[in-house]
Amino acid sequence: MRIHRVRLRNYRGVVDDTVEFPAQGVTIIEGANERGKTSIPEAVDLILETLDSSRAKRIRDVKPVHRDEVPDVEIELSTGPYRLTFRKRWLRRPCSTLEIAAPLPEQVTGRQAHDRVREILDETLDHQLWRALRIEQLSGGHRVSEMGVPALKVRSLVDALDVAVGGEETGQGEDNLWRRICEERQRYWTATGRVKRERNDLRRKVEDATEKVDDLKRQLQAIERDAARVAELRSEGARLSAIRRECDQRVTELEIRDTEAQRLRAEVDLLDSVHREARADRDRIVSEQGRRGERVAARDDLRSRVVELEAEARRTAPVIEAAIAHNEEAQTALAEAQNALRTAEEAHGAARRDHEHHRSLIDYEQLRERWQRTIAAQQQLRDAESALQSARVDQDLVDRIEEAHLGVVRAEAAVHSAGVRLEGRALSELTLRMDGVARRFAPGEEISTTVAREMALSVPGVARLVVRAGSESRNLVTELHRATEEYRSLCGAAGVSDLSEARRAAADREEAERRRREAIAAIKRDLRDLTPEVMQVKIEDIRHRTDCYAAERPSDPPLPATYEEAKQIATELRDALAEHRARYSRRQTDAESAAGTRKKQEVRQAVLGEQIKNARNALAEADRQLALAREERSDSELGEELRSAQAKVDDASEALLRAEKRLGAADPDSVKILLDNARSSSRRAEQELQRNQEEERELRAKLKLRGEEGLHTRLGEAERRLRGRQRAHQRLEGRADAAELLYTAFAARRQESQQRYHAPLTERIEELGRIVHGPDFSVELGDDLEVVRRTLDGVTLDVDHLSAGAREQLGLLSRLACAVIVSPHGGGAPVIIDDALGWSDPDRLSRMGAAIAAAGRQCQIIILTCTPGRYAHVGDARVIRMPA
Amino acid sequence: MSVMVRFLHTADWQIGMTRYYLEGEAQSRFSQARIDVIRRIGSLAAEERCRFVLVCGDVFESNQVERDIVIRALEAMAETPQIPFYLLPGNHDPLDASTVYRSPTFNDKRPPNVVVLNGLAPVEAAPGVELIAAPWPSKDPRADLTNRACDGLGATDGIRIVVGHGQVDRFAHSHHHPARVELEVLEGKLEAGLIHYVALGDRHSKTEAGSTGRVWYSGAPEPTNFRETDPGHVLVVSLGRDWVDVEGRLVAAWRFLSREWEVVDDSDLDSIDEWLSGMRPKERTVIRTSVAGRVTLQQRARLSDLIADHRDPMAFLGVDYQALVTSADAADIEALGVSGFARKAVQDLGELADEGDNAQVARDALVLLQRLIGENR
Repeated sequence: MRIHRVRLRNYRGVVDDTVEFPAQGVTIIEGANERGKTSIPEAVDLILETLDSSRAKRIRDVKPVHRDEVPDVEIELSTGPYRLTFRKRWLRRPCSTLEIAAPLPEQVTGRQAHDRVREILDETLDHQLWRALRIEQLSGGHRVSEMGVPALKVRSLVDALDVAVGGEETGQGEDNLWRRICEERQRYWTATGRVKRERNDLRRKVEDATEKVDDLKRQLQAIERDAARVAELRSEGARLSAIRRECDQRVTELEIRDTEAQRLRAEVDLLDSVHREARADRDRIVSEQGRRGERVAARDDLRSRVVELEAEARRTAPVIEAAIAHNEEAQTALAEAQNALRTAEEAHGAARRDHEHHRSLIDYEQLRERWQRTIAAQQQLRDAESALQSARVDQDLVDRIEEAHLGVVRAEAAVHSAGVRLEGRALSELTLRMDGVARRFAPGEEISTTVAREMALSVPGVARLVVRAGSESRNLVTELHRATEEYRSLCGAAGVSDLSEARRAAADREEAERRRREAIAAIKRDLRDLTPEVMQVKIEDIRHRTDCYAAERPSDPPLPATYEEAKQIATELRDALAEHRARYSRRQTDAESAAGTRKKQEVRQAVLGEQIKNARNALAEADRQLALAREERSDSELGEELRSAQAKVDDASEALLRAEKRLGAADPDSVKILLDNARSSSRRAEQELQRNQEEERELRAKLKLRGEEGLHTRLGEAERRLRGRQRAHQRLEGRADAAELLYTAFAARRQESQQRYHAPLTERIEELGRIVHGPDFSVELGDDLEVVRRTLDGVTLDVDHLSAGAREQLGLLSRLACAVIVSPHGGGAPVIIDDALGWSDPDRLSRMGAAIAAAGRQCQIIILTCTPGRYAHVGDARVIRMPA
Repeated sequence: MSVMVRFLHTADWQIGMTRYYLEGEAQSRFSQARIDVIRRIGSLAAEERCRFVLVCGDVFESNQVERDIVIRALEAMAETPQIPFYLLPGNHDPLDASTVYRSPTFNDKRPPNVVVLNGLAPVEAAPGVELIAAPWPSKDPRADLTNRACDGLGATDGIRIVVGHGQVDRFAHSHHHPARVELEVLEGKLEAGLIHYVALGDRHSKTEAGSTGRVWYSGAPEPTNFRETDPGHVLVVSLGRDWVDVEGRLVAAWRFLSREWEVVDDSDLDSIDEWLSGMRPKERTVIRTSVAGRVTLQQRARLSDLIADHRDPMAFLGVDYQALVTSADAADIEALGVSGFARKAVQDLGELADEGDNAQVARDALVLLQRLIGENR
């Protein structure tokens, strides 16, 4: 899009002025302050955004102050395929006219003209973004802040977008639609999205009111229940009264019947007692008669008893005599058997002692033999131990001597074979001294010797020779000496001269050893478990006993000659003794039995005598008693009395039976039960009635009291309060939900919209920034399109840490980038720069000029300045000077 | 000598009634109106030279009404001491153990001209004029009390007026309820000359039962509900043994109105505004209305505003918007004048508002948006 011409009439201080913009490149409008440079962007925004009918403050503000004229703006622009001229006048005779020259000529007026322009803008560019850019310009966001430091324009762009979408007129400051939506939401929700206290309070109030209503309803229901209960109690009371009356009537009837029954019972009781007395009289006489009979029978029994006992006594007399005789016989036989037993015991004792004596004699002989063998064996043991003491050569030593001897023989053989062999033959008689030992050889005798080490040979007076063996032979000789020395040493230690003597000594030692073992075995065998001392005492003891027995024993009968004979006599006498003992035992049993029989018969006789005596006494007493009784009342008198008593009993019994029948007919028990029951029922009905009346009284008192509380009215009030609160709560919640939904819907779309600008804006800012800062320039935009970080030559800094000049440059680049992306089809949108870059050094100014010029090739750039030199580096720029 | 009598027939005063939707002072005014109408009834009875006033049941809203209301009602009746008021216990204030008519307050404050018809024995209200009363002994009697009160009545030279309460069988919701009044039986007794007029209560609208001209419901003297078709009357009855003249008199100060509106365009909103503006007297008018149709966001906002303007002076103004759809089509959105992401968000809300669980919330959100935008224009 491009603005070609702006004409202002009666606009602030301007009467009629037209500014024409070149078709290409950057336009710089120069003019001192207060020359109305900023009127141009303001007028562009007004004509595009405000209806001619508007009387808004913005419009009124641009009306000339001292002239009665109304503002009038005309603008010629091209966008997309369109080229148009749009004119608007406000306040008085308002009008809007639109003339479209291309692509097709068209003329529209009034509101339609306004709408058509909007339509064309919407069609050809991102109207919102461009508007945001203008708002930002007009709201002063790009200007220096109070602290003299430029604010960041990108931040303003986001706010400007929020304003732009709200369809509101510019210049409203911070109060845009989005902010009001947020504020509305904050009335019901906390920043963290929780329900606000006021809403919770109202909800709780609703709950409290509900509880109050429920409570009052419960109380009213209780009253209704109580009232219904009273009605119930009244009807129940009537029923109970009827029951009680009925019961009382029944009681009266039954009481009459009960009285009659009681009278009948008394009559029965009286007759019963008469009957009982008559029976007692009769029973007494019957009993007297019985006793009389019993006495007679008892007396007769006693008489028979005496007779029986006397007969018995007569029958048992001979039996007792026989028992006494038998007992005496048995005692005699027992005495005889006892004497025979004593004689047999004595004979057997003597024979047993003889037998013992013979056995002692044999023991004595045996012990003596064992003793003598033990003595001999002890001598043999001592000899053998003595021999062992002196014999030092054992088999082990013999083996070592044999080994040493073998070593000597082996060494000699080695010396012999390795030594120098001296052999010759005496040609004549010859005396030869060999190692100083003269030896004579006969002619033709062979001379032969072996020189182990060195040998001096001399033929006295003829020659002296020394034969020396080699070094090996000398070593062998040394070895031989050592072996010989060892052999001799071992023989010395054994106390023998040579090996054969050693072997003999070893054989002697072995023999002594064998004899020692033999002696020990013999001693053990003969001593058994005795020590020699004990054995000796034992031998002595046996000898003494046998000697004494022989001396003391009577001569008759003669001592048996042998052990065997003694043994046989003892055995025979032992058998005879056993037989005597058995006989004695049998006699003893017989005697005891006979004595028992006799004793028993004697006791029986005594008892019988006593019984007879007692029976006779009892019989005499019974006769006396019977006589006495009969004297008092005879048997016939007794019979007469009994008959009279029985007649009285029969009469009483009949009267009683009749009375009992009458009582039975009156059914006194049932009458009693029925009467008791009727009285209980009456009492119960009375009690229930009382309880009933009591409950009714209580309920009535309670109802009277509660009735004064006006619960229904209170319930009505409580319900009214509850409904009121529910409505308020519902309204509040409805508003809260609406505010939340509105916020959510806007927030989502707002976020999406910002995200849409994110990438292209970053790209354009970096494209332009690289012209200023070189190829290593990049920026990072926040979610709200604010530049948050800048990276230059590998160093990344938060925007807040940049210098004022750098921030101002970034801001300007952002705006240029924004203007470039406004039109999706290319051509951008006009961007108006109002004296920016006051904080930039000359080098940066020069590079910024290049960047502006580059941007100017993609969109229309209009720079308003009062310091023309600042933009000298913007190439391809056309300067328009505002009239002074 | 022919006997005649003139009396005032009323019923269903329901003193102490509350209406949950009446907010703030409105409920107090409503309660007071039910006392004030007693005075008007007393005055009217005096003016019309009535011998007595029959109040045929439901004098009080409940046996458990606030006792100062009872006192105020008794005082209002005491203002015309020459006119006896015969009060019949009805289903709201039955003669049970909790009855207000035996409460200490009632007994203490009852003026001599107030008589409770609490028994079945005939009451002589004027020479030759017997009242046959059928008081309700409980909230749920299991018998036709009115006819039962007439059982055993013999012929008379005077006039007998039956004072009853309850629905006659042809009006009753339940035709099997044992307490309903069997009209035909009553009419038989009227025909036989045993009774001469049946004064009934329970229906809040003035209604004649049957065609004898002698069985009437007076209706409530002050309306209580939107359902009532002809409330607010009392009947001035002139009665002879063989003639009757029943005249209805409007005594109500309050109005209950119900109306449904269909909104098509702005002119309908104008009509609603006009209708509400014409209400007199506003402070004693209870309105329940529903609005149906489809409105734009602007129209919806206007409707809300005009209802809010009229609501305060009214005793009650309830509006049901359930059947009202707030549209958010392209034109509506255009009219909001928003663009960019805001426009998309509004379109989103418009879709939500069309249907679905969230439709109502979305409509409210759009109305809210309309307000937020409006605030700054």
